Amino acid sequence: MSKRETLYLVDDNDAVRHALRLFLESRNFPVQEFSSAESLLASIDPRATGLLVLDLCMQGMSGLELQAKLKASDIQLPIIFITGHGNVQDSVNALKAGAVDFIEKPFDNEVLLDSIRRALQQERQQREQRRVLQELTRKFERLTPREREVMKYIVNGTSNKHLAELLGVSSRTIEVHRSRIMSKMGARSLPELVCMALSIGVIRTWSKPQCTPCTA
Amino acid sequence: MNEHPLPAPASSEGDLPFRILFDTAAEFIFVLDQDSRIVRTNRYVSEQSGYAPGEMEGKEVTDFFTPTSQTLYRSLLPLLQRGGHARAEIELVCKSGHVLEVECQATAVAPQAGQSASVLLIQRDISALKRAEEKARHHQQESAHLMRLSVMGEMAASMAHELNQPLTALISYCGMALSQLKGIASAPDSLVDILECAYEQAHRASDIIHQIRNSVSKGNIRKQPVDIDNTVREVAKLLDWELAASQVELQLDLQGGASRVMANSVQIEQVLLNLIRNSLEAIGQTQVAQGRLQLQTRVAEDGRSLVISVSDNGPGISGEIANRLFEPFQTSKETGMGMGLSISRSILQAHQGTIWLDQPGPGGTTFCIRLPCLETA
Repeated sequence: MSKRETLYLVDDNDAVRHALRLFLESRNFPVQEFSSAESLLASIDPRATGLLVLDLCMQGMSGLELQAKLKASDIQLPIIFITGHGNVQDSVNALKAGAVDFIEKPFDNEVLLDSIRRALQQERQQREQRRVLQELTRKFERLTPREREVMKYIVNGTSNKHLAELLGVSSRTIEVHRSRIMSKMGARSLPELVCMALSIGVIRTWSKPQCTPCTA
Repeated sequence: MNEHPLPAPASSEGDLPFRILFDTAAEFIFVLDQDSRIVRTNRYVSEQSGYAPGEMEGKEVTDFFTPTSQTLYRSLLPLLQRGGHARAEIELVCKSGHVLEVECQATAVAPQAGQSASVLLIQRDISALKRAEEKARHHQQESAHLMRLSVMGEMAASMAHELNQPLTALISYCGMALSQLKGIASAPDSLVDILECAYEQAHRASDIIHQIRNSVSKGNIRKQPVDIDNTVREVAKLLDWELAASQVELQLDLQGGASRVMANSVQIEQVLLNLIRNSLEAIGQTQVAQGRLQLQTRVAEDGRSLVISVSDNGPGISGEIANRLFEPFQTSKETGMGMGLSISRSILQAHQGTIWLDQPGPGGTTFCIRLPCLETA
């Protein structure tokens, strides 16, 4: 595995923090610990990546409040809640707000570790997905305005011939546009191009191709 | 009870006003002879008991009492025979078998010319009063029971929270030690065994805590649509006496309208009683000329929730104390347990509601409660 993600550990109980830090470091995770939600907010880098292991009930700002604050400042750390005072309502609220897990204290080290691994795995997949999307969007933005227009038509199933008529150009011109679009977007087939168009929102849903009868 | 016989009435037979009074009185009137036998009854007796006057006359009055009341009445006889006056609560059995609870005034009438001594029974129906009393007592018992349960639940919850912290650390330490020890080939087995026992016992402790919490909080509360304005009025009624005793002026401002909330009304009453008693104590500690307490209900701006507020003109709550106000075992009272507001918060949470201190600082305190309105279909 490449560089390990940092784990941010927030709990107002010193013993819990000490034990969990020892354990997580013994499994080679870099750990940063905080004794309150406020102290994490004060020092965290807005671009931080990794994972947050967060106590639900703390003196001062609660775990749920910290979750809301982080969300509001667009800090996207996955959160695993740990709590010694679990009730159903809190867990529902936490998960609804996007927490990846909710673990009741006390727990086995391995339970926490499993949850962390799953969350990091999920986070990596999501990050990869975001990367692919950004890449596609950048490719799309590099098309000429005319190419973008043509792409919108062809992913909707408009035939070369029909499109040539619509745009008042020759079929040959459309074919040239089409092959440029395919190579610039890196698509090997029309279905692949359609998938790309859907995922970056060039078309929102599959709309039925317009079947105006050919006049020729 | 006293032993001064009434002077005999001017005339029992011939005097018209007295006869009208006798017949139209909305109380049970029995005239008895010295041996407790019924001589006459008024119209009200026959209307209420279902017995015609002829059916009762000549019989002993105790024939129409329940066995307990018979014994009670007989114990009063010596006093009546000495010409005294007695009061007792009696159960009167109607012809239908229905039992009426009556307050009975028995008065001996001295013998007069041509007539022997007699006893006059005047009875007032207090069945409705008794039922109301019984209901109030039941309500109070239920409320006290719920209070005890809440205190236990709250204590169990906060103890569980406190104990789970060291247990989390303990289980984690044990787990680490075990896995490190198992990685050492030369580690003695007995040491591994001992650590495993410690690990197991830590888990056992956590199971016990879990069980206690569950058994205490199992009392699943029943919720039903509640008219909050009505609940506040009920609470005001319950506090009638306390308010009078502390000479605090109560102001009700109920704007909840027809909005209903899904709630356990006894629990909501409990929260309000808590807040109000806190207010009364606070007012008692200040030198204000006139203590004032205001209970207000209103529909929130969003139209989807109801807000109840309890305000007083006591000394107020400083910002410092305000921060820790809802935590268990926080109290500013000498005899307080510090559970009241903590319980109130738990109750509100169970109702998907909130409770908060409106504005900390001097010059009175306002607590607010928000409860989601019942969706009207």
